[in-house]
Amino acid sequence: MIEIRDAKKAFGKNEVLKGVSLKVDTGDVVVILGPSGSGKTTLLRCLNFLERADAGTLIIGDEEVNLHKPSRKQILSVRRKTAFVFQNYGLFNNKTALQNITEGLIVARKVPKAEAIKKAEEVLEWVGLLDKRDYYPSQLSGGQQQRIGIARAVALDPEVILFDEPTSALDPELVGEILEVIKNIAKKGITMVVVTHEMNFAKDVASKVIFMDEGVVVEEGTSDEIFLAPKEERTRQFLKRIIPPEYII
Amino acid sequence: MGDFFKWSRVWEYFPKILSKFPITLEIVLGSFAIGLVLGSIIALIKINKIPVLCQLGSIYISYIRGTPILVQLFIAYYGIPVFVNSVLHIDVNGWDKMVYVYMAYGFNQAGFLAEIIRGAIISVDAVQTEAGYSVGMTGAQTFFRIVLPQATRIALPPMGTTFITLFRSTALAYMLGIMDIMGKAKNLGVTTFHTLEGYVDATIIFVITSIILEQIFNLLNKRLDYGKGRVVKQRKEVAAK
Amino acid sequence: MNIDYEYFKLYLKYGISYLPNTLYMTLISLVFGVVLGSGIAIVRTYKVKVLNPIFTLLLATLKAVPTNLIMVMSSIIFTRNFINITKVLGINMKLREFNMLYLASFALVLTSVAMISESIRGALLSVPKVQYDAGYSIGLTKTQNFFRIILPQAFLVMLPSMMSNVISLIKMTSLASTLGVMDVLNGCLQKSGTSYRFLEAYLAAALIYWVISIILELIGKLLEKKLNVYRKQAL
Repeated sequence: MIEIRDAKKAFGKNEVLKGVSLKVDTGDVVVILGPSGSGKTTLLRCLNFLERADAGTLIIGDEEVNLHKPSRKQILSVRRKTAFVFQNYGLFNNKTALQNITEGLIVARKVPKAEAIKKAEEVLEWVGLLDKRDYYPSQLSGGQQQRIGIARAVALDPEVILFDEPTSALDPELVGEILEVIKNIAKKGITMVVVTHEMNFAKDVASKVIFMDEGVVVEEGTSDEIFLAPKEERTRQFLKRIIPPEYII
Repeated sequence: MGDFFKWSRVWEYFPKILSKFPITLEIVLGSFAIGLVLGSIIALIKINKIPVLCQLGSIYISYIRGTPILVQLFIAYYGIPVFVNSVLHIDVNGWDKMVYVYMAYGFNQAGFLAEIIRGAIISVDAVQTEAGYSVGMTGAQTFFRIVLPQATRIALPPMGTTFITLFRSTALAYMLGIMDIMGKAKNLGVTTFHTLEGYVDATIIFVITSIILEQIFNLLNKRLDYGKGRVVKQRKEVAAK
Repeated sequence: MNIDYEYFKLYLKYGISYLPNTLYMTLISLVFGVVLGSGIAIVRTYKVKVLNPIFTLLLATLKAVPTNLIMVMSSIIFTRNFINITKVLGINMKLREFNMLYLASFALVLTSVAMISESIRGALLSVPKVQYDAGYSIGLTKTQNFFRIILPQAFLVMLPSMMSNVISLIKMTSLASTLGVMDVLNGCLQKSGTSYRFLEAYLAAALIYWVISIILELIGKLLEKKLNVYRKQAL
């Protein structure tokens, strides 16, 4: 279980997070929606300490961490319990596909090399890219790179995988294959927090949808609750703009 | 006048001058190593914006880039003894002249390499560091395993250029009385009164070595390309078999 | 520390008084470097037949040989053949009347040509191919296209590397002191032999070169800013 309490973050005078609280149960697939600039990506980055929040608490498993002043040990511990999938793939340019996956296992988690390679081959096979194991990121298409980015996250066997707009850098025709991969992870029962603009994906997969705007959680509920019967005016306005009318049932 | 220049003397002197090539090489490698260590330290100071040291680093780099190596060489030769004597209270009388040569060229390289290293490190995309953190690596692990290898790749071509420039600029070390290629060429001229042939030999050595060095750097460049072509080729070869 | 400030100031004054010679040598090598370098760069960029391999070889050699070595060799050849040269040219001049500054400049030009032609070539290569195609597509001739479309774009790219070339040239002129040319360095050094205050003399020289370099760098940055403004306005 993961819980965030009252996370706050400002960039200069611009308050991006104005006290966000969130609960993710084990096996949940939480999708965070919201217009750009609503703070959803910042929230995700604060969870992994890629950004330092100004205030707030993170509870992950039995560990409670101050989001503003974590110790070095806590940062590492949280990062080793989580995995992150980047918008621009974030593959290590100097490592092959296989090494991209084994790096976190061998270096950060001290998994024996042979075991790490076996695990990496497993996940590569699972995303259908085992034949690309010795390719460098520069030799792979965006879709392939992102599949490896996801495989890297899965291989770490984390308590939660954080997805930061995983399809927004991809060509439209490649979005589907990546969403399919993420859906398959959901079926495995892995806990996920996904920031995305893909409404249909949210409808199909999310066990919980969170709508954020201007640094606060406006509304949260099941996908049916949010998409079929939004309570807040802001949510309704947002969905109207994003989803063409014929899709609103 | 007919005795002014003879190819036979060029051949005669060549082995004698070539025998001093190791000295030149020593100066180049030694000062490049000093430059690399010192330059890395200055680069890290500047990247982490450590107060005072950062500003001192900038002034140092500006001094090195703004003054001739010939002047730097003699400032090292006359200045280091004064500094070491009066500030560190160490007797420098027994010091070999090579010490000053290493220091002058090493400090010079540090100024140029610091900027190259700094530029290379900051040009590595921030996402690479974030990705390292996201898989649970520490800052040091991320730096040494992810950022540094990529920065090295970026820094390699300009480093190759400075290395070759350093090699050429060692042709001034003989002015401190070092018996390297240039020193020997000059020395042969003084003892035989035939100066030009020795310098022609030195020219030949400089040109050939520069070309070889350039080839080595080109090769390194191609080797360290992180997959721009190499893996595909290997795969194709395997497939062809 | 044991540095005599009075001597330093004195040598600084001597050095500055010879600044015109240093700047003159820089100017000569810059002008010839740009004129000859442009020609070589164009030949190499557009791979002109016959000339291209010759110039490539020539540049590889010039880039590899230390400037002071070129200087010392040309001075040996020149002084040994001075009488013949004056005979051929039909002038009546003694060797000690000849200003070695020009000989030093000759050696500097050789290095400068190699340096500058490489910057120009880099700048020309940085203009994307589509710019050429676009020019031809509206019916410009090769020459028109080069002068109206390609060169103005290359010039912007060239500016920073050109400025660092000029700084390199100024620093390189100090090598002329080895031929006895009275430049900034020799100016600083001329009286140090009697006082044994060599460190002060070299420090004074360093300061002069350093200040000139800083001024040139500032000018370069200012120019770049100005040109960038035009570029942005154009956008």
